[in-house]
Amino acid sequence: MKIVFYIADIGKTFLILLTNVGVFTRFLWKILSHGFYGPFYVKIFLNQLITVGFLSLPVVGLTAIFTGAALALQIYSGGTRFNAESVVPSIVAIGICRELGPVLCGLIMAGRVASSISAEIGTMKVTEQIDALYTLNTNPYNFLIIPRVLACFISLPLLTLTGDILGILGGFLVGVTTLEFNPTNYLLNTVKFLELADIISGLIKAGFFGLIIGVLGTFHGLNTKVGAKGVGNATINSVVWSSISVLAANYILTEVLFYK
Amino acid sequence: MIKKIKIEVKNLNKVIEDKQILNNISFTLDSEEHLVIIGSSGAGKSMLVKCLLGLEDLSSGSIFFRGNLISGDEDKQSFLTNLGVCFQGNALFDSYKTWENIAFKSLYNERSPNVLKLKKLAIGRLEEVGLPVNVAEYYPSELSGGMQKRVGIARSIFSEPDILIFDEPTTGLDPIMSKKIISLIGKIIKDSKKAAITITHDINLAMVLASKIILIDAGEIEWAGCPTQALSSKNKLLKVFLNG
Repeated sequence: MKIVFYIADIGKTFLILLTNVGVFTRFLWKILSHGFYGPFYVKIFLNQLITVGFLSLPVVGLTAIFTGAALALQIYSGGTRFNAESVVPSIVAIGICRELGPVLCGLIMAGRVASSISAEIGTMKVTEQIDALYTLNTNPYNFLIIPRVLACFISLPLLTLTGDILGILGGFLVGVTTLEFNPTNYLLNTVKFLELADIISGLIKAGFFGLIIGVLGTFHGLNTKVGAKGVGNATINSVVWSSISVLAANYILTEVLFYK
Repeated sequence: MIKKIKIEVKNLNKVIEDKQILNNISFTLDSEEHLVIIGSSGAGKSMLVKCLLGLEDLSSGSIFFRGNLISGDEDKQSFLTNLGVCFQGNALFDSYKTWENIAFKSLYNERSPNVLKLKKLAIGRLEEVGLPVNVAEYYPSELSGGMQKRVGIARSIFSEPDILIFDEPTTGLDPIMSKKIISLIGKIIKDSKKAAITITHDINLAMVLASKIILIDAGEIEWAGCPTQALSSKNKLLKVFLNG
């Protein structure tokens, strides 16, 4: 008899999974359809660009500088084992632009932005503010969701580009002060081996990460269940799922962009 | 004078996970009529409002506005344009100033809104609901519960809608503030000659304001009539409400 209960549990879990996939697909469809027909709230979008992008600059910048600096030390320490200390500038630049810049930026933004978006929209949901938007003839998808998703999509590549520059700067500072590299040689080696494709591929990744963070942050916010606990759960889910999705997408995109 | 039917609800049913939340609800709201829907907690009042506002899909049944069935998104939008809603928890947007909350519908839906004019109008509405002008620049979190309720009412009447809906307007307020809010709603409805629906569990509010009362219990209409009929009714549940 026990096996019947196990099968029932599996069936129940499968149904919940299917329901969630359906709800998420419907959410994506609504973003696309409402985004197409408008209206587009420019002021809200610009506000979100500042909140999501500009205000994230300090945390992204500091993370990039310290990561670049640590990366330079690690590569130098590893490189000395086979007399390849001179690769430090190029490996730092390529590593930051292709991998660490977009991924760290994506993870930081998953923590900072996805959480704040889902908490804000979740609070609006449990305090009937979303219902009020509907009754005031203002569609929440146009007013809340689309400006945030778009702001994330645009901000992430810009933040990543800033992070790339600051990460390379971090490596440069450690290289010339601690590792006694000649500043001119360091910069020449950085530029010599860094290709435009390295930078562009990182920015493409960042664009995808921005979409993931924006979509998952707003999705969990809009599907918040009742009460303060519901808002807390929505926030946790948005951060966890955004982070996992960013890492999974990073692997897939790396395979698509670099694997030949 | 011939009264025109504003809203007609026909055989409305709402089922969630095999549970019948609303069962065969039918009523009409005529122009200049104030319908008060009363019922105890969990009776289905709030769900009825959500169905009316299109926030919840109907399991079956239909809602007509000025004789036209509300079905697609366009009908819903046209219906909502003619509605002013004051929510139970006020539902004020906490990141917007009071005047922006009041003028929200025009501020974010007109193509090129005249902000100064809208602000002036919003301040006018503030005065109508008995709040001082300086409140316009405050954020909702800086206001007391009673003030927030008044701002919610001011927002619902801002665009002079045809129909006003008040969801539990006195819940969470002290008796003195409740009386003030009841008389404010009465004054607004009388002055504007609008049709209105109020959802409440407060029988005093119903007896003072209603031209028609519907008593809901377990998702069904238990009793319907005017306040004078309510006093002579033998309905047990209604008597419980009236006698406290």
